[in-house]
Amino acid sequence: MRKFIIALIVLLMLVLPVNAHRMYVNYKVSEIEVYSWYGGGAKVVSGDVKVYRSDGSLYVEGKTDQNGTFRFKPEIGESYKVVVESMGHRAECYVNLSSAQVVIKEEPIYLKVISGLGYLMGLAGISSLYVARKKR
Amino acid sequence: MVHISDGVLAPEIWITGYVITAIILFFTLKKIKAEDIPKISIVTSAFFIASLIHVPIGPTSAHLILNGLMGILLGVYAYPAVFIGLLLQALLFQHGGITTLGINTVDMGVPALIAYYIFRIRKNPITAGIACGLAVFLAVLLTSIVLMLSGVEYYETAILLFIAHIPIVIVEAVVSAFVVATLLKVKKEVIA
Repeated sequence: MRKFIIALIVLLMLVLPVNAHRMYVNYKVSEIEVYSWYGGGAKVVSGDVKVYRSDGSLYVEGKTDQNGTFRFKPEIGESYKVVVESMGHRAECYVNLSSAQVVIKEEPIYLKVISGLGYLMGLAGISSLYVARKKR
Repeated sequence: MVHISDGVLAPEIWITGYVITAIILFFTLKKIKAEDIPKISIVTSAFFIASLIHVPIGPTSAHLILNGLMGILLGVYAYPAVFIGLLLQALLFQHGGITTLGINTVDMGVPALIAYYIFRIRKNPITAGIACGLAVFLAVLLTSIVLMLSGVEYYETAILLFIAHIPIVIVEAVVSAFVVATLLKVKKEVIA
């Protein structure tokens, strides 16, 4: 009996992914990798990277690695200007995250319940009217 | 889990669901009387809200369905009531979906009708409890069949789904038995 109960609990724990209610998926950009290369394909190793916010202030700076890449954590909703300088060469690109901000807004549940009851009352009224008309 | 979402089912299945629902709606709504409408509305609103009452089962939760009680209280009008309730749930709570509205109504409405016919055999709280428990069980069964017909990888989860709904079956059977017992004493004419 006890084994059966334990088995049941384990089974119930497996039920988790089949929960049937509304599901959400969202995404978050947690890291940006910029890479820099010279014309012809050579990577820019240990180039100076400066990342500026949209208002021009410096956000983060560092150096590119062996592969010419540099990673930083962005703030969602901000846009950045990335400038890479190395031995007199300079390149820049823009990273725009302002459109990456996805906020799922949900009305509180009691408002939905009240609106549902409102719809039902309206439907009841309309159908009563219809049925009463038909009778006459 | 008895609410199937949009995009899960193959088109021919949900279209069939709408066809079946349309036929049953036509026959159940044919003889509707104006004085029945307030009762239908109230029971529909209870059904509409019942899906928000989650019963925690282990780490997950299932919610009340109340389809059996609807059948007992409304008779054949339970079917249109389920349809309206599901429509509002789909629009407001995103439980279920618009394309699957027809098939979801079949899954929950047909057991409601069966519960009504079982209850008619003998009108007492015990048959009410059995009928309501059975209605939930049948709703889960029909949902599982529909999902399997659609080729959803489902066989293992179906069994788990049944286990998850055992508490719901019990809760609804008990609640319905008490509701019917009270109504039989207090206001007999409410019961269909």
